[in-house]
Amino acid sequence: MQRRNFLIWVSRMLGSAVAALVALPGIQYVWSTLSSDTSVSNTRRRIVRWKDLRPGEPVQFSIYGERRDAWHIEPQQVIGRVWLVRQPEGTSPAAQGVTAFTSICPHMGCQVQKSAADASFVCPCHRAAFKLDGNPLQQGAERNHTPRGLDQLPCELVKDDAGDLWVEVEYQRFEPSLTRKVIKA
Amino acid sequence: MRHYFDWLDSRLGYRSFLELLRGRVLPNGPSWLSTSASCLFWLLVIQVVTGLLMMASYSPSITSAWASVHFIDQTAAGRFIRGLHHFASHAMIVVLILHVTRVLIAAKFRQPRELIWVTGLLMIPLVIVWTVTGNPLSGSQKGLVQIEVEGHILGAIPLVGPPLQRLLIGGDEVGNLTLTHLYFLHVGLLPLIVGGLCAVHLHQVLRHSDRVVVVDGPAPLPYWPYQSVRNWTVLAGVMGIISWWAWMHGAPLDAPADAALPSMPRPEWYFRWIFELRRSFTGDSEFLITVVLPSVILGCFMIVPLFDRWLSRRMSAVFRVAIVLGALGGWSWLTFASLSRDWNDPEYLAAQQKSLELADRARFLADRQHVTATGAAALLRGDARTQGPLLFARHCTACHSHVDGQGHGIVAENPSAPNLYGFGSPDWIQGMLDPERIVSPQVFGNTKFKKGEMAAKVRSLFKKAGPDGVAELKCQLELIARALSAEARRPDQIARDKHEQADIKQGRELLVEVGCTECHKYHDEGDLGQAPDLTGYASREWLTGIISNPAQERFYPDDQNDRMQQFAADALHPELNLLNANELRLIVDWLQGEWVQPDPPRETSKPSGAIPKRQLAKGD
Ligand code: FES
Repeated sequence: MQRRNFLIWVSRMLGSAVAALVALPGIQYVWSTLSSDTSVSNTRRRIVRWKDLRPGEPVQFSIYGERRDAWHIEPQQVIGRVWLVRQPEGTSPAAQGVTAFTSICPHMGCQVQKSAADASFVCPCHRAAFKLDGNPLQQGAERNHTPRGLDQLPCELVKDDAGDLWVEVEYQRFEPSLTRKVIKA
Repeated sequence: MRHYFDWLDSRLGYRSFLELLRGRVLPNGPSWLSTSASCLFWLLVIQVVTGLLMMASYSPSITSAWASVHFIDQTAAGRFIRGLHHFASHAMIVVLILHVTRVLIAAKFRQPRELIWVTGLLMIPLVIVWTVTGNPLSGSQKGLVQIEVEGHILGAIPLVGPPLQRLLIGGDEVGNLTLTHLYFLHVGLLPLIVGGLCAVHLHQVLRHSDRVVVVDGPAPLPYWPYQSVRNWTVLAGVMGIISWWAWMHGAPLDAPADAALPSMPRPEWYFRWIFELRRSFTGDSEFLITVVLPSVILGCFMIVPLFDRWLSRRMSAVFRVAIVLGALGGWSWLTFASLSRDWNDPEYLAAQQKSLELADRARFLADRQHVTATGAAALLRGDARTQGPLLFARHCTACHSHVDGQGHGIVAENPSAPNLYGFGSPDWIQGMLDPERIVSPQVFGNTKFKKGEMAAKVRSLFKKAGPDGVAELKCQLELIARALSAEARRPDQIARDKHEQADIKQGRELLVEVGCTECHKYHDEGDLGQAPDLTGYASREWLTGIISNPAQERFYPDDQNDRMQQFAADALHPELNLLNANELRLIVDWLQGEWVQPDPPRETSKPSGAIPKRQLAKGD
C-alpha cells in the first residue's frame, strides 16, 4: 500500500508538471495582451489657421500619426478626430479663444457629430447631446446618457514666422463611461 | 464539496467511467512499452492547446502571416508556446511510428482489433499532412516554397492531381488563398478528422481490452497508478526534451517569403527518404514514388492482419520482425544518403547559411523598422544590405569586384574594372594616387585608363618629387585623399569628417595646388569634359549619376568612357532601364555602406587616423 500511494503521488506530480509546462506560459501569453502598450501615443499637432475658423461654428479635423496595430505600423494614419470651436466674439474672457474637444463620446466611445438642427453636438449611438462649450445638454424629457461633458483637449494659439495664428492641439484619449475625466495610460 | 461531486456523478456517472479506466488491466501487466499510446494522446492534447493559443494572434494572409508569427515570438511566452507546438509535432511523428511498431511486433492487431490497427495506421499520413499544412502558415520563404513543391507533387498525379493541386493552392500560384486553405485544413478539417479517428480508436481499445483470466498466482496490477506512473514519466521526459528545445531555440522562422530571394528548399526529415528515391524518377513517373509508393506501403501494413492469419504464429512473428527491420533499415539508409549528400554539398551548406542570415536580418529589421501593411517581404526588399550584393552580383560583376583586404566579398570572374570595396573611402582614393596601385588590377590595371593621363600624372608627380620629396608628397596625397573622401559623405565617415575639418580644408587646397583641377572639376575650380567631376565625388548623388549614365558630361563624355554600361539613362521610360529607381537606390546605398546597422552608428569623439601635422613643411 505504501508503494501504491507513492506511485499515485509521483503520477500526480508528473501530471501537474506537464500541465504547468503548458498552462503557465499559456496564461502569461494571454495575459500579455492585457498589458500591451497603447496603439496611439499622445501627440501635439498644428491644425488650422485661427482666422480660418468662424466664430461659434464647430469644425472637425483629423489628427494624423503613426498607428501601431499589433504587428503592423503605419505612418500617417488618422489616429483621431477633434472638434474645434472658435468662441463667439466677445462672450468670454478668452474672447478670441478656441476650444478643442476630442470627437470620442465620453459615454461609450462613438464619434460625436454636429447636430444638424442647432448649434450643439450629438452622439448618434445613444443620443447624448452636448452644448458647444462641451457641457451635457438636456433636451426635453429624454435621458442624456453621457457621464460627463465632452473631453476638452489642451489647445493653444501659436504665431508662426509669417505672423499667422495657428491652433495647436495636444491629442489625448480618455477612459469612457466615467464621471471623471481620466487620460488613457 | 463531496456533495456537489455526488450531484454531478449522479447525473453524469463519471466515477464509473473513471473506475473503468483506472481498473483496466493490461494483459502483461504494467510495462514501459505500453506508454506510447498515452504519450501520443497527451502530445495531441498539447498540440491542440498550444495551437489554440496561437490562433488567438495568428493572421493567415500573405501580408500579415509572417509579421503575426514574428509578433507571437515577441509576446511573453509566445516564442516558447510556438516552440512547443513545433517540436511536439515532430515528436508526435516519432512516437506515432514507435507506437505502430510496438503494436505490430506485439501483434495487437489480431481480431477483433482490426479497426484499432487500421485507424492507427491512418493516423500516420494524417498527422504528417497536419504538419505539412502547418509549416507554411508562418508565411516564410521555406514554408511557402515547400507547399509550392508539395502542390506540384499533388498535381503530378494523373487525372485527379491538377484539380486537387488547384484546390490546395487556391489557384495557380501560392498566395492568400493558399494560406487560408492551409489554415482551414490545419485548424479545422484535420483536427475534426483526426479527432474522429481518435474517438473510434480509443473506443475500440476500451471495448476490446483483454479480459484477464487469473488462473493462479497474484492478479496483474491495475492501470492506476502502476501503468499511469510509467505513462507520466515517459511523457514528462518527452516534454522535457521538447521544452528544452523550445526554450533554447524556439521554432525556426525563415525570412518572409519572396520569390526574388534565393532559396534551396528541402523537405522535412520524414520526407527525406522519398526525396532520395525520386532522384531516379522524373516527369510522368515521379508520382509513382511520391504518391503511389507511400500509399502502397501503407496499404500493405493495413493488410498485415490477413497475412497473420495465413501464416503460422511462428512464421508471422518472423515476418513482422522482418517488416520492421526492413522498413527501419530502408528508411534510415535512404534518409542518411539524402542528408549526407547535402552535408557534403558546399552549395547546399552555403544556401543554408544564407537563408539563416536572411532570416536573422528580417527579424532584426522587423524589430527595428516594424512591418507596414505592405507586408513583411518589404523588409528585405527595401534593405540595401540584403539587396545590394544581389544586385551587384547581377549587374556589376561582369567587370567589378567588391572584395575587402581579406578577400571576403563578391569576386568577379574576370575583374576588368576597379574593385569597388570601400569606394570613396580615403584608402580607396589613395589607391588612385599611388603610381603602383593605380595600374594594379585593383584599380585601373585592366582598363584603358591604365595608360591614361591619370596614371601618367601620378607617376610624374612622384618623379618630380624625387627621392627626397616622396615622404612629403605622400603626406600631401594622403590629405587630398582625405579631403576627397569627405565629398562622399559615407555614413561610416561622417563623424570622422567632422573632427578632421582642418585636414580636409588643407587637403582641398592641396588638391588644387597639386594640379588635379587641370583636368577635373572641383567645386569652383577646373572644368568638366576632360575627367570625372570631383565635386561630391562618390557621394550618393554622384554614384546615382554615374551608374545611371556614365557618358554624361560630368563623368566620361564622348569616347572617354571605357566599357561602363548605362544602367538608368532613360528618364522618360524607366521601364526600359536596366535598373529601376528602387534598385538604383539600393545599390548606391549598399556601395556607400548605408543601411540599417546592427547597431546605430556611434558618434566617436576620438579622431581616428588623423594625419600627423609635423611631417608637413610650411609653405607648400
Ligand atoms: S456612445 Fe455616445 S451616447 Fe453612447
